[in-house]
Amino acid sequence: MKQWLKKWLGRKRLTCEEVNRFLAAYLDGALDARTRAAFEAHLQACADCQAYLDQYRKTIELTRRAAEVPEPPQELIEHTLAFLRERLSQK
Amino acid sequence: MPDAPETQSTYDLEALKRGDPAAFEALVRAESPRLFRFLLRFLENEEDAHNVMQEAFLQAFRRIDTFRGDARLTTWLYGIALNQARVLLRKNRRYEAMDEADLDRLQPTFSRGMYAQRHRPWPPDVLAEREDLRRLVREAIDQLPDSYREIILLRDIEELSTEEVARLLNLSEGAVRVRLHRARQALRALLSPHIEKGDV
Repeated sequence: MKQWLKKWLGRKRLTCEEVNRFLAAYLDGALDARTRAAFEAHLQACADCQAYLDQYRKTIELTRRAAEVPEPPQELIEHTLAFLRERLSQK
Repeated sequence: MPDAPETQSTYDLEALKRGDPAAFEALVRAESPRLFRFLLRFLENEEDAHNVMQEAFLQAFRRIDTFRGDARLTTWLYGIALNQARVLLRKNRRYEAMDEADLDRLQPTFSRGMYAQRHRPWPPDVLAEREDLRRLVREAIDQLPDSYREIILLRDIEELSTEEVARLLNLSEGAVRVRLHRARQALRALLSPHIEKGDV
């Protein structure tokens, strides 16, 4: 069998369900090279998986933005240090 | 931890272990703002966040001898704070969290390996600053079971690495990713109807 045909037949193919299962690992850069190549090959050809990944990424970004909290009060550090000095001096 | 003001190497661990007050003060000054914001997100109450942070520093200083140095000092400190925050959260629970079955219903479904439902990209302007959407996202995060909410806060909001989260929660990295993935998918499913209907 020709080498390119052998390689093509032997390459890993993923379903949408498998691509979905690998999303967190993909974004973490934790997939091995072969799985990553199969993941990206599937993604290139599948509009559903592209759309889902887009929504997944935007969910992460929306989560990050929604959790913004105000700057801590100015006196936070001094109060904390005063509390610790008092408690640590009690031992 | 992108906005971490200090890295492990800048803390003088030997001085901390000797009980050097200047070393403790440096740690408190550098880490308080970020630890306070994390606890505020987790507990949603400034007074609680401040109290837990103070107690966490106190415990950390008293137990500094038990710090083995196999994790970052800040990860160890977060672990102490998180344990204390969990106790308080259980006592003062203000919302009804979902259970695993609810989370299952928010995961995508597949038919013969393909999505059972069509998906379209969300509009690019969904990331524009909108208070109504921020509120919806916060409500969705609050509905998650505690163990999922913690992972979202630590990984996607605090931006700790998967390895650090795993160490902190005493889980494998794989287990962190599985839980994180379920939580993200649940949030996506909760937000999607609002975004697709365009009512935010």
